[in-house]
Amino acid sequence: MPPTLRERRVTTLGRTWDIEAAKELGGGRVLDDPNWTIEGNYAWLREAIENGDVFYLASPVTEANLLGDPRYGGVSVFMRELDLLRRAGYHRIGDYLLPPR
Amino acid sequence: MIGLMQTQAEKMDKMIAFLNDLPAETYWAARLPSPEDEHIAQCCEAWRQFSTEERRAFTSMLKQNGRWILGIFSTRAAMLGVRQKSDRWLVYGIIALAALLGRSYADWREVLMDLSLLYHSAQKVGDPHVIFEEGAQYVDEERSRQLILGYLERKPPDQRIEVMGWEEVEGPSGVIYRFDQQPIPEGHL
Repeated sequence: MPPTLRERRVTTLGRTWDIEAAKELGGGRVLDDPNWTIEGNYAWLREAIENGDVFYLASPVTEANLLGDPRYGGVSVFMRELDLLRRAGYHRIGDYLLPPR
Repeated sequence: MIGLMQTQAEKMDKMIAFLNDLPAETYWAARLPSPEDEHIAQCCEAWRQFSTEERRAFTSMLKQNGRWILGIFSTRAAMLGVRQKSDRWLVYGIIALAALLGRSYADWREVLMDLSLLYHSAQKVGDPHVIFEEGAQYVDEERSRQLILGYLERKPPDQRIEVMGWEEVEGPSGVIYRFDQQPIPEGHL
């Protein structure tokens, strides 16, 4: 990770089982809300983007983790999150997504 | 006895093969109700009779497509429950989600999105508490039970389908649920 980003807050993304594992290992900030909604999820992500967070990918970026069933346009929630970050200018280095600035 | 047990195992194998092999796109777009809906309802009926071990075996044999089919069924069941004013479909929808959850890897956020529709339909058909508790009787895993029954305890704004990205549309044959402006399949009209 570039030295300028080392002090940034780290937010963890991934499939829920991987996020739970990362949380147990003391990983970055996670959205752990029993009243989870996708609307709340997007708001949480937008706040993290505005804050310039670095994102840690707890799940591998594989077809199995990105695809969803046709009701959801064929993509998973994880894929929707990654797409939002891509559109916000984030780029991937290893297991991290780094902000544009 | 051994013969009977083999028959039960063979039945389960056939159910699993059906779920794993049914094309998800085709099933989602199929006319409501379809023969596949009845077939999966029978799988849910069989699930009610399964032992805990059999349920675990069932879930462990599901591939990604099989889990998608059960999730799609839960949404179709949510629509059918309202269209036919029948809580039977809604209970099967909950059982289908329990079957895909099991102890396996399922993203619980996506299951909550599915549950929102069953809850919404349950409000239209009867008492969501009665319907969810009926379905939860056939859920062995404590985490899955908590996820399903926890929906009943949410604040009303967090129970709405809109906060999960869904909307209700009135079609010529009755209620249609659509996610995030996705095209409505002709079979749902």
